[in-house]
Amino acid sequence: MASLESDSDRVVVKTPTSAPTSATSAVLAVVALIALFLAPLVGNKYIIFLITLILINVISVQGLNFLIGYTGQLSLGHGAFVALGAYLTAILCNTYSASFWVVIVIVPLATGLVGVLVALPALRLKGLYLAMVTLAFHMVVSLGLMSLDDITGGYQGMAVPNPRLGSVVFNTEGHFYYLALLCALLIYAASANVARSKFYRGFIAVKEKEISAQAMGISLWYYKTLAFLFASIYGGLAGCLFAVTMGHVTPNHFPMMMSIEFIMMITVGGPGSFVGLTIGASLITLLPYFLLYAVQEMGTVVPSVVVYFADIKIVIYGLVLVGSLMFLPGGLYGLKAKVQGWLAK
Amino acid sequence: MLGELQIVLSICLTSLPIGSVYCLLALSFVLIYRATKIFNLCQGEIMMLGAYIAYTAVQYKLPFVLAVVSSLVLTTAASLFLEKYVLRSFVGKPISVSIMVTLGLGILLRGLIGIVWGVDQKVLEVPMFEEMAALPLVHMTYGKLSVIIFSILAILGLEVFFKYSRLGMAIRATASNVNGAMLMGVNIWHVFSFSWVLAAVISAVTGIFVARLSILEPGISQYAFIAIAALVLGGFDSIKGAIIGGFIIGIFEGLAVFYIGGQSKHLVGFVVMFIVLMIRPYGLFGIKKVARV
Repeated sequence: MASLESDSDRVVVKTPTSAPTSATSAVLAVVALIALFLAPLVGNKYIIFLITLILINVISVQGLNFLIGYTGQLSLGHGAFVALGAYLTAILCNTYSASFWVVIVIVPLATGLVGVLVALPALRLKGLYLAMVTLAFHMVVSLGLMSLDDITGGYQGMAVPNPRLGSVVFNTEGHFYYLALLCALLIYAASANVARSKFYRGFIAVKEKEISAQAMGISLWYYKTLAFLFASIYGGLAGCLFAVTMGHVTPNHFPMMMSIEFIMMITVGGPGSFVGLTIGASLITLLPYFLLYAVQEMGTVVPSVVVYFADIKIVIYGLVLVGSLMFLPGGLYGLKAKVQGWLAK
Repeated sequence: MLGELQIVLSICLTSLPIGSVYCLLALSFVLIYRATKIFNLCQGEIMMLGAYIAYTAVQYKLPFVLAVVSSLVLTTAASLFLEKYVLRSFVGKPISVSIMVTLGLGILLRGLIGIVWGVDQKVLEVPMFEEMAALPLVHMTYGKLSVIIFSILAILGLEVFFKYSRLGMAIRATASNVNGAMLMGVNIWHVFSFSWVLAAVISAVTGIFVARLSILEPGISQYAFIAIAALVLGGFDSIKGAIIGGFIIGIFEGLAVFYIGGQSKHLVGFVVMFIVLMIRPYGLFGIKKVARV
């Protein structure tokens, strides 16, 4: 048996990968891009809406990846940044009738600022303590959204007006889809650049061994704050897109379960890799919709099942989270390396 | 001025039962964490499971004592199952992984409890719980008194157990150095299992108290989060810290409800947690770790 000494700074998975480089993956990426751009011409509204949600979640899960995947800091409150982004968008567009195109720039910067503020106490903490602080942060934000009802509309939530660009009013699924797609591509490009920069190497050094990183002249303070800043900027952008896509925000859109869903996306897909994150985000975004469909289908045979939908959903969520950690270290993307290993033998 | 002091004192006294609950829950977190270095976030759900099993036993007209015993046995069995088949493979892994796993187990358990027992509020019948204690000077119901007494007994029992019994010493040895304990012939798997059993027993009894002090519904697992605030205050690896932290949080809650209002109750734990983490991140009694390369 190996040493049982718990080594709290060890990495979960070591698969730092950057953008696809080989010729086949480049071709695949181009094909996927063309398919994504043409999707609204063929797909029906519901499918386009679901893909929009996936794209939004891809953005925010890439943000969380800076913390969990790169820097090794567990944040249980990423959903709070998405909630803040969405509500800021709603408040600015609705109460102050600001232009959406200004708001979409301001909101990520504002949530980034909040992220840095959260990072300040979090810098002294890691592991357990950090998890608790970020969990508490999400709870405080949720309580705030509900109790500050003269600003946020309380349980009713608030409406988000449709943005307009010149004479075009954004009001169909297709419009929001292209908006989310554009943002997601920008975010991919930004993340791919970060993954090739000194920031990435700094993040990984912090994750691998904080003390050695410090000894090499890497400022923990700087890199952890940076990871929180990036994470909250991405979260805020995702929240902004979410608000405008839904057209309405309520506290129910951002439950604790949302933060857990982001973690599931990372554990299922695989931390640190863009392909893994995209797979994870797609599967976990679709999971509740698939479950709803399955339960409704079962409901036609056994009507009592429908009553238990909420509970069945969280049972499945628990199974997926625990199962992915037990049987898929490295996520689905990590399987690729395993399969290649078997084939090579 | 004297009136003010009396009010504060009486609030402290009336906060003792809820303080005991936090203290017991914090203890069950610490027991597992110290021995296995796994932070069991699903302890709140295990507590809830204990309460629901007791509820079902009472529904089947079992005598109350038997209901408590069956709840203890079944909760312990469930806990052991989780320890053996799920968490054992995560011993020695980074703490963030075990946090994610136990978070997942927590929502899994909450869902299962929801499916089996439903989400509506239930009343757990406990004999004599609401009767005023027939003791001089004590103006408390038997129920509230018994929470306090149980917490004191649990604390004393653990103290004696850790100090004088062989297994208790093995647990302390494992807590201080796993590899060393293993080399000295301690069967650490027994130590791990036994820590989970202790935590499950304490949680199950606490669950029954919580279900009666408030009401039996899936929301009561939230008490565990406030117990975590108590833990942060006391220090994650200190039993003494868990006890004192639990009572302090209970008293702060009582004071906040009286002076600020009922809504502030839910925020007290978090506010205390933030402040402690800013000033003294290792808690009042935790050990400040010096990192070595």
